[in-house]
Amino acid sequence: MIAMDTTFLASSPALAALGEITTAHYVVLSSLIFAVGLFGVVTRKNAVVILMSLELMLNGANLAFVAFSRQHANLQGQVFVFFVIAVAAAEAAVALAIIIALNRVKGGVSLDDATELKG
Amino acid sequence: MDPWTFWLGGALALGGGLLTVTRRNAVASVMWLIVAFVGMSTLFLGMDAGFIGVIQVLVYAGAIMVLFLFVIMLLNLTPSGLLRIDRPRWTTLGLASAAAFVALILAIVTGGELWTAGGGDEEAILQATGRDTLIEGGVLDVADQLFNAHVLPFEVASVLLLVAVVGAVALTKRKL
Repeated sequence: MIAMDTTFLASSPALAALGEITTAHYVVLSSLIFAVGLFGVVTRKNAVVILMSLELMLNGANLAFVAFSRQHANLQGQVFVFFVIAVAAAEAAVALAIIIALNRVKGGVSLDDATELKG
Repeated sequence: MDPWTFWLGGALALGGGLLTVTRRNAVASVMWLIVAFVGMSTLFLGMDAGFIGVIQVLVYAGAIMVLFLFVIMLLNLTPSGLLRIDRPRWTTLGLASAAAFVALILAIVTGGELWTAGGGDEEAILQATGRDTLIEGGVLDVADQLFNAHVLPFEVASVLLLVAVVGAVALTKRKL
C-alpha cells in the first residue's frame, strides 16, 4: 500500500534484521502495548487516565487481531476489530458518565475516594 | 510488508502509550494517547487494513479523545488538584504484572509454530494460504463481510450504542 525503497537494508547484516517484519513482530509489539496499558491501569489513581490506559489495552489486542487476520488471509479478524472499536466507544461514553457522577458525589475523580463497596 | 511502517508506527504507539500512562497531567495524557493512536493507525495501514486504519483515526483519535477532553474540562479540576491525586502507587506491582504478561506472550510466540515457520513473513503466508496476494481490508472488503456474514452482530452493536447513549444520559442528568 505505502511503498518505499528498502533495498539499502540488505547492505548490512544489522540493518537486514530490521528489514523483514513478520507476524511474530506484530504479536510481540501488541503484547508490549497491552502491557503498557496494564501498567497504567494498576499504577494510576485518576479514573480518567485509567480509562485511557484501558483503551490502550484494547488497541494492543486489536493489533494482534489484524496481524492474525493477515497471517490467515481471513477478514473476520478485521470485522472483529470493528466491533471492538464500537464496544470501546460505548464503554468510554458510559464510563465517562460514571466519572462525572463520581465527581459530583465525591468532589474528585480519584478512585481511592470511591470505597463504599469495600467490605 | 514495509519495515518502516512497523518501526515508525511501533515507536509512536509504544512511546505515546508510555508517556500516556506516566504523565501526571490528564490533558497531556490525552495528547500522547492521540499520538499513540496515530501510530496504531500507521501499523494498520502497513498491514493493508485500510478501513481499520482510517476508523482508528476518525473514531478513536477524533471522536473518543475529544470526548475525554470535554469530560476533563467539565470536571474543572484545578491543576494542583489533578497532580495531587495522581501520585503513582503500586509501581512494583504494575511493572511485575506487565513484565509477566510480556514474558508469557514471548514464551508462547517463541515456542510456537509462528516462530519456527519464519514468523509468518509474506512468502510463508502466501504459501500456507495458497493465495497469490495478501488480503486487503479495504472498505468494500470489510463491508462485504459486515453486511453479509455478520449482519446480526452489526445490528446488535447498534443497539448496544443506543443503550450506552441512554445510559450515559441517565447517569449524568440530575433530574430525569
